Amino acid sequence: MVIYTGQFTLDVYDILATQKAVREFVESKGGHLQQLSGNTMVLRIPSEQFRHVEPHLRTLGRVDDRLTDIRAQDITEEYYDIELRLKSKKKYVESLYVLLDQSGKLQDKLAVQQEIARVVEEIERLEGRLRLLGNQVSLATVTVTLRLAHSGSERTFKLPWGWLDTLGVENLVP
Amino acid sequence: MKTLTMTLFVALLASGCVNLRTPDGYAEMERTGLYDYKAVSTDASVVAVRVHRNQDKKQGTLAYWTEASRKHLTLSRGYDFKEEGKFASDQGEGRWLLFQKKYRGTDYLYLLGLVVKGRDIYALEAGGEKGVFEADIAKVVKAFASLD
Repeated sequence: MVIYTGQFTLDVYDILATQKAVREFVESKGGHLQQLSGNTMVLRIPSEQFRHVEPHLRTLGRVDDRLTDIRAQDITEEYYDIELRLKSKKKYVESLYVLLDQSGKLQDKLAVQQEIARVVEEIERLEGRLRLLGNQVSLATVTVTLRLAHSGSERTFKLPWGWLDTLGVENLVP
Repeated sequence: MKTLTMTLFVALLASGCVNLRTPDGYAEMERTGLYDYKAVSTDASVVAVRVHRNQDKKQGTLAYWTEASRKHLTLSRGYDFKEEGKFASDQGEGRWLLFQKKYRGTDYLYLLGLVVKGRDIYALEAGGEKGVFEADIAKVVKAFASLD
């Protein structure tokens, strides 16, 4: 069980258009936009689609590789450990309910109820943790920060083939 | 007779002769200026072809020139890449790339088709204001495929 996260910074000429393109791409893969703050987007995408993200971003702009951060965190051991602890605590709570039935004195009943409440709270916390891990495993988290290409980026892209400069609408249309 | 045939053959080679089936709604211009073929629609959309020299015919493949063109237009010239596709012509397999660019305050679409055959790179270009050219894309790609 692996949690995938990716952080990418792109230099682009049109931030709004690129944001739209990124969002449409992620949605086409079954994901969604989780947060948009200024020029930074946080997106969730099914983990099996995560490998398509970086190649696609490279078609939308220049990826600043110095700021790229891709991680795959294996949480298998943690997940199964929590599952085991959960199982054990649920069994313990069952035994506490049996004890509660058997308790005669009010003082004993109160003590058992307090213990049940404590353990149930732990169970809920562990279940919440499992849900969170499950969500993080099934949906990778991708953070995309966009920068305007003609300000702030140091590198000017240039290929030496002169004929490429003859391409484009500027030369084509009357 | 032989001299005449040879003269015609050499003239043909020298002219960078390009044949393309002009799309409906476009009229071909006489071959002057930069392009080996050029046609214009009544909406001022243009289809044009120019042949460039492939300096490295071994490594200068269709895939190479497609990627070089895409990167040049998006990273050096501010074009937004939209989508891509393939086509087949008599000169060989082709790839097309569709871009959008703001020009003169208006959104323009620019369609670039590339075919590589040995020492020749055929750059098939088409473009116009987005509102009118978008409807022409399919027939222009068909025209690209008629490259002869």
